Amino acid sequence: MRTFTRTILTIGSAIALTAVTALTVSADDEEAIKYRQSVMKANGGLISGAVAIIKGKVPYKDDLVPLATGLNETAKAVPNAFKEKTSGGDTRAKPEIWEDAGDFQQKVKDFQSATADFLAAAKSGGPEAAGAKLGAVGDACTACHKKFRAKKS
Amino acid sequence: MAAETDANVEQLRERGAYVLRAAGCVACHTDEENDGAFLAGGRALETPFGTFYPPNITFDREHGIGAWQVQDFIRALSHGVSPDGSSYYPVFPYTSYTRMRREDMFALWAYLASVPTSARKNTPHDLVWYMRFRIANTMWKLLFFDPGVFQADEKRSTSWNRGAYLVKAMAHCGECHTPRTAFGSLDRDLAYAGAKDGPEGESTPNITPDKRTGIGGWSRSELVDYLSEGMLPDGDFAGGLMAGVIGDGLKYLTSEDVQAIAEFVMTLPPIAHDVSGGKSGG
Repeated sequence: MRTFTRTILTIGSAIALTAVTALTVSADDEEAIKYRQSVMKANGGLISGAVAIIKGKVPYKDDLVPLATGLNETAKAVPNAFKEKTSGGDTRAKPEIWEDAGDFQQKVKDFQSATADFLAAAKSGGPEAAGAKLGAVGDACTACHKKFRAKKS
Repeated sequence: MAAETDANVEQLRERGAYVLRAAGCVACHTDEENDGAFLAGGRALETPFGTFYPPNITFDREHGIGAWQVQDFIRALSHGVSPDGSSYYPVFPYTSYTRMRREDMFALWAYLASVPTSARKNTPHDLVWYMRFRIANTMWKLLFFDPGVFQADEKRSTSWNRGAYLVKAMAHCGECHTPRTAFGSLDRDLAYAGAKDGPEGESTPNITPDKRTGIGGWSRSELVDYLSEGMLPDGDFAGGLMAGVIGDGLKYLTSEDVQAIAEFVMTLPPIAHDVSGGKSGG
């Protein structure tokens, strides 16, 4: 092949490859995104269930401790869920999570201590006691989302 | 006699502290992001007309409202006029606060008098050129401002009227959730139906009970949970501007008041208005 043609083809395919890579998410990143969304959805599911019991919307008082236990456990999975810095993909996770890792980790710790208090209250005092600790859990969720989760578009 | 007066003042202040929360003063008048002092102003509020910096409303005599008389305060809330006679920008929602009853305004004044003062100097607004002259506000008011205290609807229940009062006169939901015309006035045909270009460039959702584009699919108790705690039906907790509205305001309301708000909101005329395509808050 003539040198000129070869050069053009090399440069051209390099550009094409870069463009394609930039548009697609790596398979690893996609898995990381799906995983952390599963963990966060699990948090949401458990807390809305616990709230339904606390507010008396369903009568299954004995199930509050199992749900609160679940929430306390899924909270422990949050740090690793956000360990891998991803680029691109369908996610609302902001780069600040990794750029301001100190603050992010602190907010995760705050969340974990709120869920621990919530569980302790559910165990010792049932729905009423847990209800008093609910606000702190919600505040912890909000504090992190406010700073580290992007607006929906 | 003195003890009685003290108790009355204390009661008035407590009521005022509650009004502060219901009316959402904290979210605008405190620069929380930069750890600003309580009610000392300074929080940047971006709008299509430029950036506003709400003032210091502590009772500092030089930088706050400490040199005001109570009637200055009443006039500011009910007529959007400052003690020097100039009109306020309607970003300060006197267009809603005008509906507040005088007792609530007095209570709020009494409470503000008890808040620790801050000598924080006000930041001048940074506005588009044609908004830099207060006369624009006077003209705007002539065209668009409808002053007057809330009038209860006799045909409705006490709780409905309480909800209507809280929404229209204090929490001023319509100021964000109703789209605005090019002049910055509220488009009343789309009352509460959401705005594509709302505060800080975010869209605000349609909060009329339209099933497809509004909150028609929400139950009353889901709405109450959301307003009192910020929890969405799927257990998610909002992180956008509503986090401030609820966290600094609505979460302090009594359960009856939140129920009343939900009752009122669910009777709003459902309006089909799709705000997707605007940037929505988290």
